[in-house]
Formats: sequence, structure tokens, C-alpha cells
Amino acid sequence: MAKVRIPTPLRKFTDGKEEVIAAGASVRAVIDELERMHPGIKTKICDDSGAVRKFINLFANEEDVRFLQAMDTPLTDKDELSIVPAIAGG
Amino acid sequence: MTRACIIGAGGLGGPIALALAAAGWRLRVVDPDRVELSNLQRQIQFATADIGQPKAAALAALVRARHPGASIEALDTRFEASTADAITAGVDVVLDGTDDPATKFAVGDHAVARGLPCVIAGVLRYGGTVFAGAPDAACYRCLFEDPPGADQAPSCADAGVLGAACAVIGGLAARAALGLALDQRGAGTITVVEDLRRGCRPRTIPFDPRPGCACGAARVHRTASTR
Repeated sequence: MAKVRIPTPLRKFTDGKEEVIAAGASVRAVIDELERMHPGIKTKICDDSGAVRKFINLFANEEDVRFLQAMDTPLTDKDELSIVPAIAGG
Repeated sequence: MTRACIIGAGGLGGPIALALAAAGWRLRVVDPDRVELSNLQRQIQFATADIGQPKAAALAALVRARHPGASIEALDTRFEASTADAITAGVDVVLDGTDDPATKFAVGDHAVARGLPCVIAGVLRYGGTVFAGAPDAACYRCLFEDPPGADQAPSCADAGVLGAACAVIGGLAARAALGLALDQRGAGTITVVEDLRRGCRPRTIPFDPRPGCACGAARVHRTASTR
């Protein structure tokens, strides 16, 4: 389980919620649970192969998951997963 | 005196220019667009009388009115491959505040190619992000490998933006540029403001160069204890 920080462009899937608690022992499991709770959100985060889209980054407790164990990075209920996309507006 | 070019004279370019001019920087502001009525809610540097005027020139005029000694140049030009070298000629720092993902990536790539510190800011609805990069630190593509598609990254015009969010993110972008110019402080970070309705709580997250990235920056992993 982890607290997931939802970025502005994806809050339409979470009823406007900035933070969501999702069950799962890894980044992959938490993203899957996020999809179960909020259908449609996973395809905005991951591509068809399940990899994180190239304009999005995931940080576990402010550590880039690419330098941890990527989607297999373990998470506990004390952890926080941030979804950070490239923001286009200006 | 530090010299900077600011790509985009809109919601973010306005507060960035005002902050850096007040800090005594020499500025070049670049934007091909003209002021529209729909801009005024978030691009507070413009007034109704500016509608129809080139944004870069109108912003430069405001900066000069506030700071008569300011050195600011306005270019009514789009940042693209054919104009990039002229736009960044002689500058020490490049800042992007455009509303176009492709331009943000092009600015980041050009900064890497020319060895320039770079700030790329984005704002949407109630929050935004500020990337800070410099030579030998992580670049924008170390963080985001490719731009989002048109349907994957809503613009302010599409999704809306709180006018005050532009001021907050623009101010953070100016602060990032000041840090980079001082001693490359903050290079290889992204600052995130998630939702101003719940308070202004910027989080600055360091990140490492991505192995295989074209920028070639070496990875020096910074753990939480060394940040």
C-alpha cells in the first residue's frame, strides 16, 4: 500500500483527488490497483507494453524508480509514489 | 551582468521577466504571438490596451516602464531550429515558458547542444513544474525522454489555469535561473507544485542523468542523505 500523488492532468480519473491510497507491494501492483479503483488511469501512465510512458516519471519517496527496481520497486504503507508528467502549459 | 533569453512571453514569461529584470539581468524575450483578450486572465503583464500587440514587445515595454534602466530586447519570433542560435546568442541562461511540449523539448535539446544552463517551466490548472538543468547535470530528456502527444498534454487554453498559478510557477522558474547562474545550484532537479488550493508547497526532487541519454552527463547518484 502507498500514498499516490496524482498530477493535475490525471485528476479527472480520481474525482479531482490530489492523493489516493492504493494497495500493492510494488510500483506495478500499486498502479494496477489504481487502475482498478479509477479505470482508465493506467493507460495514461503506461504504454501497451506496461512500461511507463516516456513523458512521465515515477518517484518513490522522491527517488527516481528507474534507478531503483523500476516497476518492481517495493512499496510499503509508509511510502509515497509521485507521478510527475511533463506539463505543457505556459 | 547575467544575460538570459526567455522563450514565451505569456503566463510564465511575464513573471519570469519581471523577476529577473528586477534582479538586474539583461533579457531577451521571444514570442511570435499577439495579445488576445482570452490571455488577460493569466497573463497579467498585459492590459486591455495591449490586445493585438506583439507579446514580446508589450512585455518588454512593461519591464522598461517599471525599470527604466533595464536592458530587455523583444523578438517577435518563434523558437525553432532556424532561429534557435540567434535567439540564444550571447546568453548565459535559457528559460522556457511556452505552452507547447515540442518547443520545451527543443529548447532543452538546444541548451544541451550549446552547453547552456536551462530552466523549463510548465503550468496547468492549479499547479505546475520547474525543471532546472545545466551542463554535466541531468537534462530535460534525462527526466522525460520524449514529448507527449497533443492529446496527452492539455494546454492552459484547453484545461484552464489559475492566474495566480502562473505567478507562482514563474517566480519559481526565476528563482531556479538565479540559482543556476550563481553556482549551478539546483541543476538536475524538478520542482513540483501540485495544487495551490491546498497551499503552496513546492517539492524539489533531484534526479540523475539517464544512462544512454544523448546529453552524456555522468551519473552521480544522489541518495536522500546526500541531497
